[in-house]
Amino acid sequence: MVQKHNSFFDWLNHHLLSCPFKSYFGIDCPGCGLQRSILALLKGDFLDSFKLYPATIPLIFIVLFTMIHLKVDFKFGASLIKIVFICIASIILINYIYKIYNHQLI
Amino acid sequence: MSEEQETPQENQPIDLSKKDDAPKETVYNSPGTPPPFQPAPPFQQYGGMAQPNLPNSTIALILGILSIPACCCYGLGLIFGIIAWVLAGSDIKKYKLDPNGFSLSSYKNTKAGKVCGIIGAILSLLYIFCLIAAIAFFGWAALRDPELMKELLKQKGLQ
Repeated sequence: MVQKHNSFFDWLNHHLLSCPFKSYFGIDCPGCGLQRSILALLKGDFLDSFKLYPATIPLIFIVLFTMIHLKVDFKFGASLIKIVFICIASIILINYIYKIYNHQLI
Repeated sequence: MSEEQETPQENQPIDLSKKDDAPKETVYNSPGTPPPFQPAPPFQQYGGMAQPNLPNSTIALILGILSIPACCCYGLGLIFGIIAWVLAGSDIKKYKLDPNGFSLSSYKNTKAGKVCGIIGAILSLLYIFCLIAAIAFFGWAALRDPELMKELLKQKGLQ
């Protein structure tokens, strides 16, 4: 089982969609790290996932919450989605500025 | 006979009352019209429960949320965001024309979708703007070549 899991993650690791921005210019785009982060999350490594891309967990949360909200229709659903979405946008922006500032782009 | 008639008349207040009440009933029915009025609010209430959702509320919300993950893939986020924005905008106009015709929750969803679409579109615009700025600043060749890029960055003191 462990070997199977390992091979599965290896396979995923080798079959990530390559970012066109990165493959063309060699610089990270604001979304780079998302797939690696999701992989880390699948392995159960929350800290690694956060380090690779801090917005992953809220992104997954908002997608799941939206699906539930469209079924169940919470009263506070729409406003919560808005707030979380704004948070995600600011997290992505801050993360990218931080990356530029710390020269982690290349 | 007259007595007999009187007694029946006394005994027949029921009949008289029936005859008199017949118009009176109609009179009481007119205040009794509230019952006819009462059915009306329930219809409105049930109408309120079963108000249709705005046609594009779900699509606008989903596209608006997808616009952020998609903004990093080929600039798709800009397209998603603008579509969500436009769809939500038209739906909000529809709702404002006829606030009772559509459900409030779908209106809230639509507004959330609009906000998400706007933010996603702005982020993607920033991304595209950064891309253009980078090309203008460093030139196409440097961007294609990471080593040249590093040298250029060092030269400009940005490392």
